[in-house]
Amino acid sequence: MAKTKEKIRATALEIGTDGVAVLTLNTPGKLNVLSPAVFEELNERFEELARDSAVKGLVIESGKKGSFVAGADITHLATIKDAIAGAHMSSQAQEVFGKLDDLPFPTVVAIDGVCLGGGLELALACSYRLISDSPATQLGLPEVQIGLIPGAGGTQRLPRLIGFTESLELILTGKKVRPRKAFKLGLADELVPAQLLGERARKAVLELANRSGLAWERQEGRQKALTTRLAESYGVRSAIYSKAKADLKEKTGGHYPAPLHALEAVRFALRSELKDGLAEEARLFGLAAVTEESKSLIHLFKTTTELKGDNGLPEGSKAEAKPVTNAAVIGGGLMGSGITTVLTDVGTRVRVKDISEETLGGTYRYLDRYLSRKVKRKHYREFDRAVRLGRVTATTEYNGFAHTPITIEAVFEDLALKHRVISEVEANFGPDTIFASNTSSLPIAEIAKGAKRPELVIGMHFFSPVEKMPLVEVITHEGTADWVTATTVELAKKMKKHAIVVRDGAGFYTSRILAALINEAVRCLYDGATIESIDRAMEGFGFPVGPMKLMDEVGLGVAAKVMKIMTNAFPQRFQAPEGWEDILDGRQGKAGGLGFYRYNGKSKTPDRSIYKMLPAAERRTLSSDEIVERCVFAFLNECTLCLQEEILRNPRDGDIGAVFGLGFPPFLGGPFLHIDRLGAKAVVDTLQKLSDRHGERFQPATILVERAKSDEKFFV
Amino acid sequence: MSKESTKKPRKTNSSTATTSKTKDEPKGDRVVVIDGVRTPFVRAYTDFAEMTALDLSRIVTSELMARAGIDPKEVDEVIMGTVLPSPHAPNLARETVLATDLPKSIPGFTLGRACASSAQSVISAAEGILRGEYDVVIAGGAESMSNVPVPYSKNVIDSLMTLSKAKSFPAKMKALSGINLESLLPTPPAIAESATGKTMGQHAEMMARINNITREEQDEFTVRSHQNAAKAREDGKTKEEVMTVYPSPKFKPVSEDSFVRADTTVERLAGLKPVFDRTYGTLTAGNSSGLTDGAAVVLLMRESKAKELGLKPLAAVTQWSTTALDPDDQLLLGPALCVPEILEAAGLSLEEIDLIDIHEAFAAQVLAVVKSLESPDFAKKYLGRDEVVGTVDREKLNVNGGSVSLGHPFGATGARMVIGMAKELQRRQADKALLALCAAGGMGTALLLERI
Repeated sequence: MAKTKEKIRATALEIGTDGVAVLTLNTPGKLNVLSPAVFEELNERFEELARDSAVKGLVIESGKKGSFVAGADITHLATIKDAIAGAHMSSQAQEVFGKLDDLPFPTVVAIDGVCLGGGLELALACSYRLISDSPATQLGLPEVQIGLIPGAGGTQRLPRLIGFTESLELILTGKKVRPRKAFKLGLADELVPAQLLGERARKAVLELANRSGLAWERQEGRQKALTTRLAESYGVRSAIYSKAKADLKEKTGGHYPAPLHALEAVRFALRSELKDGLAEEARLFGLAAVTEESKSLIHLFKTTTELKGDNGLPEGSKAEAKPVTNAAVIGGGLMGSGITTVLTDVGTRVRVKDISEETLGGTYRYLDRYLSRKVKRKHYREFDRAVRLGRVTATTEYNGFAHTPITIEAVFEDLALKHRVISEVEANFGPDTIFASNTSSLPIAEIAKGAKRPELVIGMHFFSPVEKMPLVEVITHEGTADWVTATTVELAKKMKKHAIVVRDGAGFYTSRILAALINEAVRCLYDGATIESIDRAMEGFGFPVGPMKLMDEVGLGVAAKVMKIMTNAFPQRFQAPEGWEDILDGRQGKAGGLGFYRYNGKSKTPDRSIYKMLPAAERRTLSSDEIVERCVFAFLNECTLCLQEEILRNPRDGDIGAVFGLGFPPFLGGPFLHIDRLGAKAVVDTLQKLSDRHGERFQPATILVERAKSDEKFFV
Repeated sequence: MSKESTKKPRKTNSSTATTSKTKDEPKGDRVVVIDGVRTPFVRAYTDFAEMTALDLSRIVTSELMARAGIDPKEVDEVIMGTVLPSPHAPNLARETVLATDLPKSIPGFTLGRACASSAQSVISAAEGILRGEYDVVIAGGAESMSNVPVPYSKNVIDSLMTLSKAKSFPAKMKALSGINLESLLPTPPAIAESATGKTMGQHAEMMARINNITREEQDEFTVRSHQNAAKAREDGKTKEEVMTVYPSPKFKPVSEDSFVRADTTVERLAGLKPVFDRTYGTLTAGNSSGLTDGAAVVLLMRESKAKELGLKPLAAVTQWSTTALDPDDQLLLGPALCVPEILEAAGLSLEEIDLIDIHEAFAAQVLAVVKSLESPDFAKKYLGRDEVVGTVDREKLNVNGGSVSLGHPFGATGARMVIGMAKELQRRQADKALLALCAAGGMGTALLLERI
């Protein structure tokens, strides 16, 4: 007879007659998450187990099928006030896992499904790790991705288990490893078929318990590979450390301190006792936890999680999304290919229509390149590739579209062309087919004017390359039916994108705020800044690509088109300076070999001949700070104008759109969080100053002025 | 639609099913062709060289489903024919289900009736529908002659098996000693009839001699086949049934059958050397069908189901028959035997048929079949009757070309013919099309399609 102890909220403990205790994790909610309350409960469990002399061994497993532990409770991490409090929180968690580590019998953890952050740290404190071979099983320490470092022993126990270099690879990038790799790394002692995991864990713990002495106690029994041992010798270790540090600085541009903190912690692990190492880890965790970067990244994590639960509809609307198992994509070019690739990857059948069979061949090649990379990395098998390729059919004629719930149009940005496509769709598709236009700037209401049923027309603005960029801007015009919005948002989510719903208007949200930034960058150029200094300044601020380079990449034709739309809508802010069109004449951008830069194979040089065409023919040095101030404040102001005009539903969508669509620095959390940090008053003052100096276009948005007075923030 | 009503009296000496003539047959219980599509038929080792039969079959099935626009859940069964199955996907139909977005609950089976395989797929689908087992079936076939499995010799396989079991080094060496360089040469699959030891071309050559078919007759027939195929292409007919395929790894569009030569002439064909009998022969690469890659599928339904789904069928499959004769006799004469069976069952004369489509393995074989149908000697000897089967109006015969001009992917030709004739009946607003195929082993299969 097993004696069952009373059940507490997050865990269950059962001790069998054979002396095997089984601790089952089952925290409230869909995933197991480690909150302070759960730690407290674990603490009690471990103390209780330590006192129980009948226990011969412990098995820890999840009560949630296919999911072990997703990590620590993020909401709680966000409340950390200062470095001392952060370090304290870390030491408390360490202490609990320390009690697990110190249990006087073997502890076996059975991992099936995600095992991340605190979950892996818990596993590391056990004496024996089993992982299932399920594809859902993934192990990792992703703390750096939210600006933190593992704070429950991870930086200390992982290098002791798998070695210095290998643990750096995991901790500094936060990447997840699949079962086979985890086993190879030594992260797991056994790789077990998922169906046998529980049974094997109970057997393994008894086997360990019955071994003579304390053979199970320290995992150093496993001989580390020669290369691993070599890497841990002092000289090599120092070299690796210096190299890693330099690489990190280069990669993060100094904007993300967490990986550097993690690097310090891991280095410490190899030259000190566990106890001292843990103390250092806690100290560094405290430092990381209070950085702005961490708070920004947690802000993004929280807001995107919240967005996942948002159906994009106005309050009170009861419209429901229609199921989408197949879709049509019209236009097989770059965007159409990217959209097709993501759709087929998430299991949606796609029929692609283009006027050219050559282009359609290109669509398949684009998809196949994506799939080949996956096959090469062993994420997919050949069969997966065949299935995904097979979901895509292609046609140059309008046939086979009668039963298509949604069509995504990705033809050239030309209103007349889009109207023609709409009427073709109306003639060849079912009467209820949603027409989602992947336009980056044409007003949706204008596109809908060509439709017999404008309620079916919506904007679905993807970003290039579609398979990498995580944002979709869903644009509703006044007449868009709610069920159309719901269905489009649901499809975007199925495509694993952050879907923000914005109101129709010139440039919507993302193109509009980007235009504001680019417009100011061009004015800096007119005022004498060099092309490369503008790009360098903005990249220094944290944008992945400078505005001049970006224009070249997008294509100057497209950029000019967008600017024209913006100028027509908001002449006082977007009026291009004189002679602008002459400069663009004959420049296509990167694709044509000449834009703001001259492209020669892989190298590029700024095209200085532009300067002769400018009023300030002499280049003078605008400081980086000046360029950044002008461009960023024009950008921030435009963001708040979008909120003021209700293009945006809320600041949350504004932050997500800017970060995931345009690469606004994630370490700042988004334009609205950035304004909160700077203080509305300071922002208004700066805008006023810029307005006095450079013109009306910097006039601060009314809601900013109001907030400056009331000292109200966008996020509480 | 009771199951009883679908049980039809069968003639004892054949598998002819008589379905349409029974008076008490409830309307709407026929088997109908909704649509069909095929890949271009492409010379082996060219554009589709990297595509397996499974690739071809899943591509064409996905296209059919997209065109038909029906919910994949409606499909009850997938039946595929193939003549040389790949060891990697022996049940082509099941693999096709798994590799497309068809529900995994559709089983799928693969059958072999040599060159009549996909005709048999259609027949098996029809039988299942009449039995009440299915409402909706995808039937067809695929063949990749570019990917024919070429096994090692038995000698090598035996040695490797011994090697894998050998424990000691000397034993391993001994096992390996069984392999010499010559035995490492793969053994290509036999194209000879096992019963006769002759290749199919040699059999066709024999049939040409028996029936007094000259080289000129064959070449003239060949030219006509190409001209008909070219005309069908020009008139846009081919495009209605052929999809564009984007074959990996380059994904360059392939939209046309590669064998069709609009400009071929009897003079030009006369320059070719005989291939099966180099001394006395009349069969050349020109007047024979070539090695081909391709796939074709047909969507079949119970007529009432089509109505329920609001689909407009092209034709009904109303009769079918398969016969066989001694391979030592005229191996490819099968069609001449099953055609009269169908006519008898349907109560029709050959003259009442609007379109006749005979698979062209060789021009000589088609001509032999036609001559036999018109011959009193044949009628007496093979059918035990005095009157000839009928006269084959050449204007009705293979109006859009045949395997000699279009190519012949073994497992796909029958389905290709069903699609082509179903659509042609609609185009001409004609009523009846008779299809017949010869197949290895002395078999013949025929089907009757009637326009709806």
